[in-house]
Amino acid sequence: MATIDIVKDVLVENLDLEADKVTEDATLESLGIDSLDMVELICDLEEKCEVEFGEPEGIETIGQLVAHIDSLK
Amino acid sequence: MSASRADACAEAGAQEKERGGAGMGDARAAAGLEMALSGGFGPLGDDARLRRERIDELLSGTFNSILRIEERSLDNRLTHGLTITEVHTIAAVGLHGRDPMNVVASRLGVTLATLTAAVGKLAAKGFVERTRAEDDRRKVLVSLTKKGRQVLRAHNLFHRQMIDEALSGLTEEEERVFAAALAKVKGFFDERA
Repeated sequence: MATIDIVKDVLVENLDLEADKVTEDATLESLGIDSLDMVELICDLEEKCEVEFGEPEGIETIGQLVAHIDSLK
Repeated sequence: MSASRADACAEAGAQEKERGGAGMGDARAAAGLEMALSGGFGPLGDDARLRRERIDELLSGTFNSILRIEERSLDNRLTHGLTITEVHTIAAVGLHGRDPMNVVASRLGVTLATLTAAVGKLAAKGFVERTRAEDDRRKVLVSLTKKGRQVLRAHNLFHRQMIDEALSGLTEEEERVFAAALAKVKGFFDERA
């Protein structure tokens, strides 16, 4: 499963977002994802993608999030 | 504090430590500290004395405020119901750590018995898990669960936001001077803690 699809799944499941709004260009802010949501999201993605996410700063878009996860694999 | 006075204080402390051995809990070391701080190396001017009193208040006041803010920060959906001590235990386990109990205990500066009790409670609440080391089944390793990692990340996030906001009124130069001066003062306290 592609990372973007896993990210979509987790966001739809946890935050009730509509899947078609979760695009690579979408900013976390525009999707209404705050810093605590991000903490939960990262911990979920860590399990689903089997990576150790660390605590990166400066991730602002879904595309950057996906790229960061892929760089850890 | 002038450089020579700072050196004199530090030296007095070091000598006391050498003689007294055990450090902060040792009465002789405490007496040496009191002498150094009460002007045992010459009288202070009125301005300097007032400034010192002010710094003393500033340090204690800042310490107390940070503790209160930190306590309050726990009132969110990820860390609600935990104490600061529990959060610091979670932090000592580490985001992706899987270490023996004695290693985590020494990180926290607590006994193995204290840590065992704390970890037992955190495990019952689902924040940490205990496993046996594969190479030595007698050894218990402790690591964070997903819920524990959420707590640690939320706590680290709080610290980043707090320090960014707290220092936002300083210029870069002020921040550098503050960091250098505080590091020296912290060194003094760390040696005696």
